[in-house]
Amino acid sequence: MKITRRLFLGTSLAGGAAVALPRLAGAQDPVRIGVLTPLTGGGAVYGTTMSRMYNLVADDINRAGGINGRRIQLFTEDAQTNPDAGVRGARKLVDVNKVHAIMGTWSSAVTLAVAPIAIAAGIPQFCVSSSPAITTYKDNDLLYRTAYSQANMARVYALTAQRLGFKTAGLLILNNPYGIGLGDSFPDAFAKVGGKVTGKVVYNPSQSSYRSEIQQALGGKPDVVLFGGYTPDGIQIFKEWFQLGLGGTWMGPGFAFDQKFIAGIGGQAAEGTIVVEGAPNAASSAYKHADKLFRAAHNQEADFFASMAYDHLMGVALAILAARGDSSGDAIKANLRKVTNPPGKVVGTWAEAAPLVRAGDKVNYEGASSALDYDEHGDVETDFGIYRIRAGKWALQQTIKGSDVKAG
Amino acid sequence: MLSELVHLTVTGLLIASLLALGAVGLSLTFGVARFANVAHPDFMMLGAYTTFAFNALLGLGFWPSAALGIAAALVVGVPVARIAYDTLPVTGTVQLLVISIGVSFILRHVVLFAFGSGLLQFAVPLQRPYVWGPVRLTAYQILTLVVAGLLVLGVHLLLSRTKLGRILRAMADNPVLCEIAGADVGRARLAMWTIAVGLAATGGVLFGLNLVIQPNMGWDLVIPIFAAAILGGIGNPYGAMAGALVIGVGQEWATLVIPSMYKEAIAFSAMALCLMFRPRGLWGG
Repeated sequence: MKITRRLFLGTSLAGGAAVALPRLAGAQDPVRIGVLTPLTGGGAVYGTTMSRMYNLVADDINRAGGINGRRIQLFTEDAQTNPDAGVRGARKLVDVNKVHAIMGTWSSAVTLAVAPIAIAAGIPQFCVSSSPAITTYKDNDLLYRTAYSQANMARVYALTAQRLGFKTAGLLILNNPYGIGLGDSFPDAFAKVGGKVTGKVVYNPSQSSYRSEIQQALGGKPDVVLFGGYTPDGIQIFKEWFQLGLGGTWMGPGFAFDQKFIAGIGGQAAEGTIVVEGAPNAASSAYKHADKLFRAAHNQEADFFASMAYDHLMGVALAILAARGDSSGDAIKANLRKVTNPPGKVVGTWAEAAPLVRAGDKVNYEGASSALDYDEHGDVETDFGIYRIRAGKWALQQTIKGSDVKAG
Repeated sequence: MLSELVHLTVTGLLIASLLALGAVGLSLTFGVARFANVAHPDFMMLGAYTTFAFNALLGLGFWPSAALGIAAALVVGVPVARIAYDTLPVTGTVQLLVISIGVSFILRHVVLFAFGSGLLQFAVPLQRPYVWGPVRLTAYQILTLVVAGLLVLGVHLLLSRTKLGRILRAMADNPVLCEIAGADVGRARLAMWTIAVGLAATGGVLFGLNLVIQPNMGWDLVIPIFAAAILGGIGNPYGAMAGALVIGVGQEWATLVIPSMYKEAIAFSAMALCLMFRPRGLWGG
């Protein structure tokens, strides 16, 4: 091809424009958020729900014009409920996508494996994991958790048993740090509310049969048996328990008595089982809006995990807005508590909050999952729901206030 | 106390009956083929999964599924054993042991690929137990005890009363002499693998009927099944039955005095003591 003056001029202009355009868009540079939830593996159900909610919140804010004109752009990686995959995903989000925050790590192992990467990059990380180690982690105030810590769970189970009128409890717990920790702390917590533990049975994983362990746990005829294990052992233990025909009532965490558990064991054997799980902050405008978005898109109510995802992104978006559009880790860190914690006007949706924050007013974002008041460790105080399995579904019976848990 | 002892004995017998179906076949193959077949418990896993495929995936009833599942396990398992252990040009005990570890990995990962790693259950309804005082057994559990008992009796009759049994016992004593005497060693080995895989697959089906199955179930059973076989005097099928009883019932009884999380240790202490004072096992001559 012969280079004419006209062609030269044309290509130069086009080239110049291509170079100049990103500069023009400089002010409009999107806020890049890394979503690192498990889409496969043990946490897939929760991770998928959360990932959907992040997309809904991003769309909601972008439709309203974005954060100071900056759109939210999500980059999603599958953490696979596996620390190795989580670390690979986090590296890609940080090195390639240059995200301003990482959200959604679900299992404690993934959260704690990813944390050093986020801290080194100076960006905040938001998780829904329950390991007590997350509270005390030396995170340079960059690791935030919207879920409860296992450290409080013994107290929560004790309150649950008390509220339901149970005086005695047996324990059937897995031989790992989570099970043993619960086994050590529950008897004292239960004694504080006037209850008595009739017996504690620790089981090893991957046994062929748990028949004698079940018999022992039910031996003292306790009003309720606290199960401290996971879904797979739960299915096998419930199958053998049902076949023993001994009766009794079980209580345990939501991550053990989940939908997979109910499908695996069948509604008949699961009927009446007590499930304790974080409960959304149902009275807040944030929850009502999150629920409306989720129902419209997925025809499902927003659960605790969807609510936490809503709060992660809302908190960060409001913090960036309060920082006048500065999305650096330092700016988010410096402004997050200013928008989420009291004092200030209570807000729960972007439409409510954005005009006030833009005007420089102090707001107190009340989240969909909790009041979302981050303490000095980056933890929050959540409420708990007491559910019972009825016809194969969790049915909410009562709510335990986060403040009641703390009072223990 | 007494009722608890009865309950633990029943639980122990249930476990022992499943272990025995694996341990008898393992001991038989050790006696004749003279190597420890680590893949043997994986034949139980194979039988459980083939039955699961007919029962839960193709929607057949439990009985036809069990029959087809055991047949399918034989169709897959016997040729695998024949090729891996009888036709490969290796003879040493250690080489065969290593090959069997490979066979175990292959079987497990084929099942993992086909069925995934999750827990699976047969499509049979959950049963409530019959209660006689402290004894609580469901119909399937009674079936398990009866079938295991009959099969073990069958193996005894086969070994003691038939020509094949005599050849197998002779091969265990002295394979060269046995061949010189004109016995068809190849056919006897085929029969041996068929019996061993068949027993294991039946054990796997009964396992799946009462409990839940997952691809690692064979691996999880390696230690108790080997313990039962060794305790009984490895190579001796009668000893394996006794060994399964001691391991199964012993570890349940142990929970009377120690926390149940240590019950496996008690069973293995019994095995270690037995080997110290009776190195040929309970039934070893």
